[in-house]
Amino acid sequence: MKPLIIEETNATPQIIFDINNKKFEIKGCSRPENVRQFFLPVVEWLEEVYLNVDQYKEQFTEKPAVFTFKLSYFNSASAKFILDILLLINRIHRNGLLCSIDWHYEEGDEDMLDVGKELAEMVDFDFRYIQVASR
Amino acid sequence: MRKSKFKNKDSEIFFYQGPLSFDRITALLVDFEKIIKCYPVEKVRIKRLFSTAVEILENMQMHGVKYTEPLYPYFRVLYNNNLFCIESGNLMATSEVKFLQHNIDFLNQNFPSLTDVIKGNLLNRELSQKGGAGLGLYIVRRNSQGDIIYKSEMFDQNLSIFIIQVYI
Repeated sequence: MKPLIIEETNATPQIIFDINNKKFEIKGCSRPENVRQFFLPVVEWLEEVYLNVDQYKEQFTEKPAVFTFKLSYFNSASAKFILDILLLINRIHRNGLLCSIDWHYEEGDEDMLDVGKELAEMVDFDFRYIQVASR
Repeated sequence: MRKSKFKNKDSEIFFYQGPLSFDRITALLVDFEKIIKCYPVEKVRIKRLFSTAVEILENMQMHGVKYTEPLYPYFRVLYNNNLFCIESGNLMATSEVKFLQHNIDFLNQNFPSLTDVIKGNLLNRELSQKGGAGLGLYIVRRNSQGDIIYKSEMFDQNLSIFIIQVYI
C-alpha cells in the first residue's frame, strides 16, 4: 500500500501514514482552507486499511501500529475529521489490526490534553498522553 | 464600527479592518501570535487567544455578507490588567441576526453543560456546505472567561452590524 505523505504548511499539518515503515503521524496546526479536500485522502487511506485488515495485521502482532497525534492547534472544522480518523483507527483495531494512539500535548497546554481525553471518550479508545516541552 | 468596553486607546495591541480571505487570515494569525507571545501570559491562554482569533475570523469570512470599504469587518485585541479583550464586528443580513443572538444566548446560558451536546454534534452532524462544523462559537465561549458579549445595530433595511466581545 502506498504511503500517504502530506507536507506541513502554516495552516495544515504534516501527515505521514506509511504502513510498510510502521509510521503513522499527524503533526502541526490544522485549519485547512478546504477541510474536506484536505482530509479526504487521509480518511480514504484508513478506509483502505480497514477493508484490507487481514493483509496487514500480521505486521502488528507483536507491537501495535502507533498513531501519533502531535497537533499544536486544530480548528472546529478539523475536529470533525480528526474524530472521523480516530473512529476509523478504532474500527481497524477492532477488526484485528492492533493499534494504539499517542496524543501529544505541550507542557502547560491543558486544553489540548482535555480535548484528547474528550476525543478518547467519544471514540471509546484509550489514548496514551505524552507531555512534551513547551516551544 | 469600532466600539469597546475598554476606554484607554493605548490598550489596543492589534487591529485589522479590511477584506478577509483565507490567506489574509493566515497572515493575520502569524502577526497576532507574534504579538501575544510578547505578553507574560500562560501557554494555555496564548492557545485560547489563538483559537478564539481563528474561530472569529473564520466565522466572519464564512458568514459575513460581502462588504466594501468603509464597512469591512474588523478584528481587534485590547490588553489591560492581564486581561485580553477580543472584539470583532461585521456586516450580516438583518434576517440572520436573531438566529445568531439566540445561539449566543443559548451558549451563554447553558455553558458549561453543553459538552454532551457538542459531542453529539461532532459525532452525528455533517459539515455545512461552507465546511463549518457549527462549533466555532462554542469554542469561543469555551475559551473565554465569561459570556460572549454581543451587540447589533441596524445599518440599513437589510444589513446589520454585529459586534462581539470576549475576555480571555
